Amino acid sequence: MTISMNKKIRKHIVDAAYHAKHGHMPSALSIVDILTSLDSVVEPEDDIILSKGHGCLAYYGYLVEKGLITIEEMRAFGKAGSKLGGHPDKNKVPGVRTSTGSLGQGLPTAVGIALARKIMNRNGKVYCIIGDGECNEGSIWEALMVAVNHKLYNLVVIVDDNDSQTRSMPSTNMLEKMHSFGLFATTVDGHNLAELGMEFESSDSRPRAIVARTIKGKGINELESNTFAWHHRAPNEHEYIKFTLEIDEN
Amino acid sequence: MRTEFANICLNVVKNDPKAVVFLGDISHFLLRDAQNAAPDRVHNIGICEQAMVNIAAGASLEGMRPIIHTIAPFLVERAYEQIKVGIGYQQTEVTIITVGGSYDYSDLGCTHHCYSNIALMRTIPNMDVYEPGTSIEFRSLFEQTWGNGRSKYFRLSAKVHSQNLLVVPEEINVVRKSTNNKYVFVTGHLLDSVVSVPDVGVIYVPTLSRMSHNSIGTINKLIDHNTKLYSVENHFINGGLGDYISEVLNRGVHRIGINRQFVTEYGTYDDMLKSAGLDLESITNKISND
Repeated sequence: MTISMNKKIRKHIVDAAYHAKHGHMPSALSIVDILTSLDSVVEPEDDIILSKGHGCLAYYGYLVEKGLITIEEMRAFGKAGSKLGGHPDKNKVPGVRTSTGSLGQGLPTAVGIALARKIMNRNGKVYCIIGDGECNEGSIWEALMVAVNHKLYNLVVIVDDNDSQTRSMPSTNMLEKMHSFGLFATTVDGHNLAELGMEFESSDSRPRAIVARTIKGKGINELESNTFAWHHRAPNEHEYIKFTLEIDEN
Repeated sequence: MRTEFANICLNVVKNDPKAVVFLGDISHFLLRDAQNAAPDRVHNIGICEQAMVNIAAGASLEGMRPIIHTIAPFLVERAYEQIKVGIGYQQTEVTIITVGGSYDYSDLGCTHHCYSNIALMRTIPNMDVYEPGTSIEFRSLFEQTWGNGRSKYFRLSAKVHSQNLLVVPEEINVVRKSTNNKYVFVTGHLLDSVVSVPDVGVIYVPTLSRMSHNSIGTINKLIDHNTKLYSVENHFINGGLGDYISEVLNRGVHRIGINRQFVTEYGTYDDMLKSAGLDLESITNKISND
C-alpha cells in the first residue's frame, strides 16, 4: 500500500508538470518518499508543514492521494483561477497549514504551532520538512534554538538533504549541526521507506531532527543526472510518457 | 506607556487563556508580574525577531492570541517580510506592540530609531495600525480591539501628550475647530505642539489604517475647497499620516514630518525633535507662515 503511494505521487508530479507546462520537479521528487513514509505514521491531530515550499508538487500529489484536491486541480496549477500555485497557500488549499515559499518561514511557524500545543496541553506532532538549501537562512537556526530552549518534544524537523546548494553555499554536515544545536538528530536514507518509518517512530524529550539524505529528481534517471537543467523545466509529450513508464517499472 | 504595556499584559494573560506574550529580550523585567501570573504564557523568546514573528503566527494558527514586543526597528523593519507573510497574508491574530517611538533612545543613534514603522505597517493589507498618544489611549484602543480576530500594530513612545481624549478605533477626534480655515491632522504626542499653534483646527488621528465613514463625514463638514490642510507626524512624510489623510480625503495635504533623511544627532528627545524640524517653533512657523 505504502509502496504504491510514492509511485502515485511521482506520477502526479510528472503529470502536473506536463499539463501545466512548468514546475520544480527535481525538488518535489526528492521528498516523495519522506511524505509517503510520513503518511504511515501521522495521526489525525498531527501536522505536516512543507517549509521548502517549492517542493509543493509532491505535497499536492500527496493531497490528491488524501482526497483533498483533485488531479484536474493539480494539472491546472499556476494557471489563472487555480487555487494551486508554485508554493503552498494556506488561504486557498485544504490541508496546507501555513503558506510557505519564502524560505526560512515555515519552520519558525511550525515551532509556534508546537509551542502553542505544549502550552495548551494538546496532542499532535508537527512534522516540518526543510531543505538543505533553506538552511542558508538564519531564521532556521533561530527557530531551532527556540525549539530546543522550549524542549519541543512534539516537533520533528526533517531535512531534505539533497545537496541543493552546491552552486553557492552548501549546507554541510547537517547531522553535526543539528546535534550541536541540541536536537536529537539522526540521519537516514531519505528514499528508504522502512528506515524513514523507524526514524519517525522514535521520539525524545528534545525536538527531533531527521537528516534525510535524498536525491533531487529521485525516480527519474534523466532528472537525477541533470538536476540543474530540470530545476524548473516541464517534460514534453515524449518525456512525459517515458518518465511515467520509468516510474511504473522502478 | 511601557508601564501600561506591562499592566495590559498582566491583565490579558490573567483574563484570556488564549493570550500569550513573546518578548524579544526587551521589557522582560517589567513583565515579571505577568510572567509570574502565567509562566507558561509569557516568554522571553530571545534576540531572534524574525523567528519570533513566525512563532507568533504559528501560535495564532493553533488558536492562541499572541502579543509580540521589542524595540520598533528590530521588529517592524528587520522582520518586515515575516510580518507580511506570517501575519498580514495569513491574517493571523497577532498583536505587534513596539516601544521606542521615533527616537526615544535619543542617545543610541540611528540603529535604535524608527520613523518608517507607520508606513511599513500601513502597506501590509489586513494590518490595523494604531498610534496611541497616552497610556490611557493605549489601554482603551487595546481593550476595544483585543480578541477581534485581526492583525494589529501599536506604536508606543515614551513621549505622551497632555490632552484627555476618548479614542475609538477608526475614529478621529476633533480637538478644536479652526478660526483661520486651516486644519492640522496630528498623531501621537505632537498633539500638544499642534494645539499650541494659534487659530488652526486640530484633528487627532490615533488609527492610521482605516477611517470610518462617520469620521470622514465629520471632516468633510469642517473643511471646504479653500481650507488648507496640514499633517504633523513624528515619522517620515512618506507613507505616514499625511499620505493616509491625503488618500482618505482624495486631496493634497501639506505634510510636516521627517523628509527622507536620517536623524543622526545624539542628545535628548527634544534635541531629536529640533534636528528633525519637529520642535514647537518649527511646527508653528511651518503652519503659521504658510
